[in-house]
Amino acid sequence: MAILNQESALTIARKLEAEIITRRKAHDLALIYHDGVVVAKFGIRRGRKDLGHDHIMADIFLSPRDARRLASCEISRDEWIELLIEKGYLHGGR
Amino acid sequence: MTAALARLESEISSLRDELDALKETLPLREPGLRVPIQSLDPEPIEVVSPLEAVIRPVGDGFVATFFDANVNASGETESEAFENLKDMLVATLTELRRLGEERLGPEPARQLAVLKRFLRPREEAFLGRA
Repeated sequence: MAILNQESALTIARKLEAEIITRRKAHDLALIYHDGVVVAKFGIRRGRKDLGHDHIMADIFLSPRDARRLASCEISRDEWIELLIEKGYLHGGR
Repeated sequence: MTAALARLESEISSLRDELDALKETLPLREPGLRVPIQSLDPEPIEVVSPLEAVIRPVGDGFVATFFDANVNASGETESEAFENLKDMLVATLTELRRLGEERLGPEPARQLAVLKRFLRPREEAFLGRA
């Protein structure tokens, strides 16, 4: 079983307040903004809800455990931003 | 009884954390299948320099990655993950270019810079622009 499926991907996109770019291809694209700039993005596969989305963990710089915690609302958007800063993917001021 | 249940819940939670930590190391143990990407046909994007996709089993599926730009895609099979990665390369290049560098944070800006070294929209190739 996949760690993240399409349903988790949509939950994460909503939680991170992503802008969804709809495409007529295999994926839609979720763009996550912080302070007016895109800080991360991930693809959402079009099709069944149970489609695997384990690629998202690398796209949003999270371990499987933290990705699951984000999907189940144990990690907030602000906490995720803090994690990005800690891991050096985002500057503290931005 | 309640205390015993609480202790069991705590132990299960602790075991789950340990299992998750072990799972995190699994992708590192898998060497992955390396596949060159030499074309994105029929997309109007030219591969200027061949890219290498690495496809690894994750969960009961596969994740294909172009590590240089951290572009990733999943699939139920290796070939589906590979095809999905090609779609994500197109989507990433197209959308990040559309947004423009001033609207990109550090990591997306880096991703776009890397992708521009490997990929080029065909109209630019036709017009001889970089």
